[in-house]
Amino acid sequence: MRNVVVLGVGMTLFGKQPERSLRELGEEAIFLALKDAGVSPGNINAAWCGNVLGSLCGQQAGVGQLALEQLGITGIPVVRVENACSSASFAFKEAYMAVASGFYDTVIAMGIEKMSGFDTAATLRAMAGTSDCELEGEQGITFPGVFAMITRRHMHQYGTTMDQIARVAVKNRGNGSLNPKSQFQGRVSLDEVRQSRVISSPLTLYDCCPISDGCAVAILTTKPIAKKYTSNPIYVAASEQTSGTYRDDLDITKFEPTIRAANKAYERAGIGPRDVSLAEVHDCFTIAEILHYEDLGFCKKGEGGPMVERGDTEINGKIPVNPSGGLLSKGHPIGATGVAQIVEIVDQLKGRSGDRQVKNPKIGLAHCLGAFRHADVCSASVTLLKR
Amino acid sequence: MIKKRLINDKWFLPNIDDPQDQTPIGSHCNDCGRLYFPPKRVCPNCMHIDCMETKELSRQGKLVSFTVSYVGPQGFAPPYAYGWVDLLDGIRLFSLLTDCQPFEERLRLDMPMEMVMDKITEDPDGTEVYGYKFRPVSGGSK
Repeated sequence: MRNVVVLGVGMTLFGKQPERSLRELGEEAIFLALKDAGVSPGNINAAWCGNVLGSLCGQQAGVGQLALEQLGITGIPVVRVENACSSASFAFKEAYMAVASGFYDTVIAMGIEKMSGFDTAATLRAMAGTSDCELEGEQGITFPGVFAMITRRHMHQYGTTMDQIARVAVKNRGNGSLNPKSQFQGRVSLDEVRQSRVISSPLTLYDCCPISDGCAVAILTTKPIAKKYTSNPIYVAASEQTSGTYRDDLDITKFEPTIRAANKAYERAGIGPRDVSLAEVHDCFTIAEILHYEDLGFCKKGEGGPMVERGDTEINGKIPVNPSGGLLSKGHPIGATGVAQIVEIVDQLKGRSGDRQVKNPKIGLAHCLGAFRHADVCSASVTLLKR
Repeated sequence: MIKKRLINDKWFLPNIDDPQDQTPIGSHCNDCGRLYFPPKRVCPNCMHIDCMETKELSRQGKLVSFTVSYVGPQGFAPPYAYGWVDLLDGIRLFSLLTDCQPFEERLRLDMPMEMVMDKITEDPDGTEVYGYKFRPVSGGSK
C-alpha cells in the first residue's frame, strides 16, 4: 500500500440554500479544493461522489459528473456512492483505496446534497427510506424517534441526564458560532435547548441536526506527488468501515459498528484513542455524540454524560470533539457530511481553523454513521488523519 | 366499502378473511434452533433451506425503550408512541404502542407488553393498513 496524502480540501457554506443548484454547490467546493491543493483539473484521474436524495427524491442522477463538468473535469471515471448519511465517508474510502493501491495517483472524494426546498412530509418520507422501509419505515419510525429511544435507555442504564445531553448542543452550537461555514451562527443556552419544542420525547428541536444543503471536496494523492505541492502534508493513517449485524440482542446504548470500525482504524494506524488530538463525530442528535465518546474509547461505557459536563470535549478540553460545530450546528447535508468532517480535520491539522483552532493537533479522527435498521446502524466509518 | 390490507402478507399466517385476526410468524430453523423475523427462506447460520419451518411469534414481551413522536410521515398523526419490544422468544420488534395514554405516565422501560392486531395507518387511497401493535399487559386505560 502506498502512503496517501489529503492534498487539498474545500467546502461550501452549509445551510438552507434553496436558490442554489446541486451543480452550483459542487462547482464552488471543487474549485476551492483544487485551489487549496494547487492542482489543475487535468490532474484528476477519478472521482467518487456521495449523494443520497438525488435519486431517492428524483432530483438528478449522476450529480458528481454534472458538478465536476463545471470545472472541466470530464472524461474520467466518476462513481456515485450512496450509503445514507455516511455516503461521503465511503466515497473517501474508495478514493483512498484507489490511490493506496496504485490504481490512480490523484483523485477526488466529495459529497453533495440538497435537502431544502421540499415539503417536510416528503423529506421525512425520504429520510424514513434510510431506515428499513419494510420493517420500520412503513410503521412510522423517524430518525429523531430512534435516537429518542436510545436516549431513554442510556438514561435508564447509566443515569445520564437531559442536562448532560443538552450540553452537547450548547457546546456544538458554540463551536459553530466560530465557524463561518456553519449553518447556525448563534450560541444557545442549556435552558433554550431544554425548553425548545419536543420533537420525539425526550429529544427537543435543538437536540436534532437541521436539514441542510452543501458540498465538501477532498483531493487525495501520493506522497511523492504531494511533496511537489506542499512541505506540510496531511496523511491518511487509516480509514476503516463496517456494517451492522442487526441482532435482536443488541444493547441499544452503543453502536457496535462504531466500535468495530474504530478498533480496526486504531490498529492499522498503530495508535489508541488517547493519541487522538481532536475528533469530528456523527452528532446527528445530541445523545449520539455521548454514545460516540464511549464507543470510540474516549471514556468508559456510561461516562459520556459526565465527560461532556466536565468540558473535556470543548475546543480547549482534553479531547476536543466537533470543533466545527458538528452536524448539530454546522449542518448535515447527508451525502456531503463525511467529507466535510475530513475538511475540518485537515484545516485543524494545518492550523488554519481561526477562532476554533485546537492547540497543536497531531492526529484527527473523523467518524460517520449511515442508515438504520433494527436498532443498529447499517454503516460506520472511522478515518484517522495525521500530520 | 373500506378496503383493508396487511402491512406485510409475509409476516402472518395466511388468513384473507379478517386483517384484525392475524397470527404473526417467524422462521424457525430445525437444525440450529434459531428463530428469525421477518421470515426467511434460508437459515444464514446453517445455509440450509429445507430446515426452515413457520413458527408463531410470542405475543408477550418487554419494552426495551419508547418515544412519543410529535412529528410523523404521511399517514401518522402525531403525537403517537412507538418502541422496541423484546419478545419472550428472543425476537425484537419495532412497534407502535397503543392503549397507553397518557404515554409518559403509563409507559416504563422493561415493562411487560402484549401484542394486539390493530390499524397501523392508511394508504393515500384510504385503504386501511393492519399489523401488530403492543400495549401494557395490565390492559388499556380507555
